[in-house]
Amino acid sequence: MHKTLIGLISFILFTLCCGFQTSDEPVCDSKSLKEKARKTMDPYKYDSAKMTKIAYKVKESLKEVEVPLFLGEKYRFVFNTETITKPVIINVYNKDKEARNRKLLWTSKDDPATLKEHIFEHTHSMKVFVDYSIPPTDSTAVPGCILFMLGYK
Amino acid sequence: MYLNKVASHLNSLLAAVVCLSFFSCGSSSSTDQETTSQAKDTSANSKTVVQKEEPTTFTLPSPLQIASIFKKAGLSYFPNICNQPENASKYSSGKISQALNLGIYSADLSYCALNKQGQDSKNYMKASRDLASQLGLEKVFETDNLANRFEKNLSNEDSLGGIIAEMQMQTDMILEEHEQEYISATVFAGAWIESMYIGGKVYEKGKEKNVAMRLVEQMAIAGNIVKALKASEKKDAGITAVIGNITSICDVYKDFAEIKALANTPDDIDYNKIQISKEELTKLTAKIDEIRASIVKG
Repeated sequence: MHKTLIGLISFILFTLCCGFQTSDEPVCDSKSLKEKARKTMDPYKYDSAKMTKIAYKVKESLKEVEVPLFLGEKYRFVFNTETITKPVIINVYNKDKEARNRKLLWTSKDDPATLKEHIFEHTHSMKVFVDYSIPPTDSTAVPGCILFMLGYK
Repeated sequence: MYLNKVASHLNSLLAAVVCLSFFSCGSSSSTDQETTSQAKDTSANSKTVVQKEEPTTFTLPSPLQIASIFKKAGLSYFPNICNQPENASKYSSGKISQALNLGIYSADLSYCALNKQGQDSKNYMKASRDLASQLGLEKVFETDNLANRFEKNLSNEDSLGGIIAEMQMQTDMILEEHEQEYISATVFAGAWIESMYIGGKVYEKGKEKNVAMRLVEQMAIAGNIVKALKASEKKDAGITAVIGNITSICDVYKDFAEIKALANTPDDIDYNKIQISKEELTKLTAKIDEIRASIVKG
């Protein structure tokens, strides 16, 4: 009887301890974010998706995703930012971060801070580069994710 | 006696709690240490803090989009170009062979569906499902009744396209969930090779200039396939051979006169204007035929 009780208490304590454990890994439900982005995609067809982990650092940092496109196709880019805790600016360029003469095609800079889903439509490019500009933040800021989904028609 | 037993159990419990507390705090304390150390470095001399640049990541397009691009370029339907659906049973061993051939069948399915070939689409759907099941992807076809919806819409090219895109999304999600993105990249490699093969075969028959242009344009993503596969080369010994195959196709392309001339500015290539000779295209399609044959033989 007592053994059972002690076992039960140990189990509860263990579960509580695990629950309070902190981690640098963001908790992002990829499936749920993709389902939400897909609803915004219509009438475009799903092409691909990329989840990017956003960890805040004491210095400004950048994460870049290369997106191959095809001439003459129409594309919709959907970015879901609901899991990030500090605003990240999304910029789309025609060339990568190393290129000197790259052109900014779109930015989320002017979108309202409360907006959690950003949409950009584009055509006439072979490839674009999505840059996530992560602001300098106290590194204890909770990490998150940005879900990017691409659709075409 | 009884009290002694209880005391002994309580001691064990206390010890367990102490251990658990230590364990649970260990992780956060190590994080705190890292944070503090990082903060100290920054305040001591902010100029010496170098933010290590992370490499650019990338996405790969879907096989359906590639089929759709070729279709818009005038790719007409020719029966018997695709891999025979009955061959699916040959690919019973080796994940990489199964993934490559699942990609091949995905491209065949898209080619048939976009060309309103109902019965062939059904056959390729079955072949894809058989191989997908062997890779643990059976759930894809059960989600939202996708397999049944597919069969009910065989004569509707738009609906079939939507259902195939939905399957692609479900496949990506399952593979991501099980940390098997390398399977995703390998499936895409197979689909890309088959799309190039079909494009090459149709070009041989009709000499459609737009199809030729699209074949060359597709080479722009070959580098990304290689990068995606290299990122997971350690996951399966078979990936190295796939990388070798795609690289050998790239080597043929890099040897084209106009591509050589633009080697230093590959991002500035205008695929609408580029001139590729018939001999060069023949070399490219011959290399693709050779590699595709080695995959489908199982």
